Amino acid sequence: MFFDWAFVILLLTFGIFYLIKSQKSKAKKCGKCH
Amino acid sequence: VPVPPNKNIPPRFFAMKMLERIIPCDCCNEIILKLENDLKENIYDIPKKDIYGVAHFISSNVVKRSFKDEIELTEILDKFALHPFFGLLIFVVVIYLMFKLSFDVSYPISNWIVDFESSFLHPLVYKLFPKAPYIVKSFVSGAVLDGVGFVISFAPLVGALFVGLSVLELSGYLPRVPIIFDRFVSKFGVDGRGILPFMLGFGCNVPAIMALKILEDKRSKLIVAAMIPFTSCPARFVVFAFFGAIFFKNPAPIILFLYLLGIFFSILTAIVMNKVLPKTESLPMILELPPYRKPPLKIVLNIAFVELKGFLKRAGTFIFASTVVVWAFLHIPPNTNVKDTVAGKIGGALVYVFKPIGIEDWRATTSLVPAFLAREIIISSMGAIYSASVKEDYSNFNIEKSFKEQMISLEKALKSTAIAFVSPGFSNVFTKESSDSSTIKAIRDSLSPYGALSFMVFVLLYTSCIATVSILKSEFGTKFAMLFLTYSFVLGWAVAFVIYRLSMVLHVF
Repeated sequence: MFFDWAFVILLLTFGIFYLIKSQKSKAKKCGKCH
Repeated sequence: VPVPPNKNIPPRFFAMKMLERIIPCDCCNEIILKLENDLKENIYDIPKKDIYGVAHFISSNVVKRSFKDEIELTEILDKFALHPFFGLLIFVVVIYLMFKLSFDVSYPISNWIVDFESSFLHPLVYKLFPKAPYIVKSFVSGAVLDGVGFVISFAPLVGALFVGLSVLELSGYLPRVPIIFDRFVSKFGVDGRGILPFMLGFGCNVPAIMALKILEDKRSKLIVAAMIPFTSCPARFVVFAFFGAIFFKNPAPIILFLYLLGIFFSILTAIVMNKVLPKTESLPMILELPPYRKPPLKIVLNIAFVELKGFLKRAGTFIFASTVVVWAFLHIPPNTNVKDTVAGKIGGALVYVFKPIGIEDWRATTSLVPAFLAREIIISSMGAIYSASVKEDYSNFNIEKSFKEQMISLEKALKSTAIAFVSPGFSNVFTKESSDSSTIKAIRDSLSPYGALSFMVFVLLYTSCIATVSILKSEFGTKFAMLFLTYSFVLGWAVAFVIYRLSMVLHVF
């Protein structure tokens, strides 16, 4: 059960972290072009 | 005097570049000034005149131009293509044929990819790693194979669509489409130049809104900005293709209807805004049109390849990360009934909102939430959500036998694609039985065709993706972005409601 929780939380953190990072870098790129 | 740094550089060429000041040379300044005084011309123009003179001489002797014929052909074709009535009719027929052809060519391969991942890769994971924890196997099959795998299965369709679009663009037809629409939208106070960003919206809404910078008038900017998010970008197209292939025998007319519906609501929004906003004078559109010509195959394939690469990269990064988040919410708390998880409870609560428009399954409503990040995520989320609620039995799976079956079906798929390619628009790839994947079956059972149409209409019109909202916010402020979000959500729901009820009453399917 502990492994299941750890696995899910780890993936959730990775997913959210990546999404925030990609949105930030997208905003930066857009700022540079325009 | 400087000498060429490399023996391969001819001294004459080196000297010319020094005179043109491309290669810095202090001692050349005097010579340059003297030459300019003597010849009474700018130093840059002297060699260029010679170069262009020689180039013109060579080209006039070697190149045979059929420019006159091209212009005559363009004038004849434009009489029909830019005609107020026939122009619109031709546009509808051309777009329909493009959808039909891209569907017919790509569907057999897309169908095979879905079948391969569900009938071969899925059981393979369970067979190769029988002792791996269930949560890990569920992640691989739910988020990776059924989630991102479903999106990747649309790669042939995206490739075919962009081949079609680039053929239309390079042939000179697509640049004429703004002229056809200008007749309608200019009546509603839209600046003629606003048509170009509006048409860009069919590629992606974000750069289309950015392109509004070419408009000087703030009123026109606001009107076109409110029109753009209703245009069907390729991300929506992929969702329509996914639903079209699952629920309808011939999806091309349904997708054409959705495209035209998007354009209709863009114009309707422009009419409303034209009434609400204080009036100013709009400028006419002046557009230079290229002649009609045969599209170069190399450039067509290059454009399709670049777009396809972008689509696959997006599927492997952003869409994958979003699917991972959806999958995680489907497993909090782990090892419980999917309906009792966080995602299940959110979806269950949303059913009350979407029941009147025919979306009664919590799994379908849940997939609409992450679609706010990007439209394609609907497909990957559906793959993850439905596969989590479907129990499979892989005890009879045989790797060798199954692989052989897959190769035979790949051969059949390639044959169907070849037939669809040589007999465009007349093949019946959709009449054969669709994929047997249990996830696909579960999706088909959860919605009626009327509900599926309503779902597609809602996806077309409701709240744009996060990138579009953030660009609306940065260009026009938070108030406008929020107002537009509310407007598009209410409009999407109301139109889906009307179409759902109307199609049921009329027994369209």
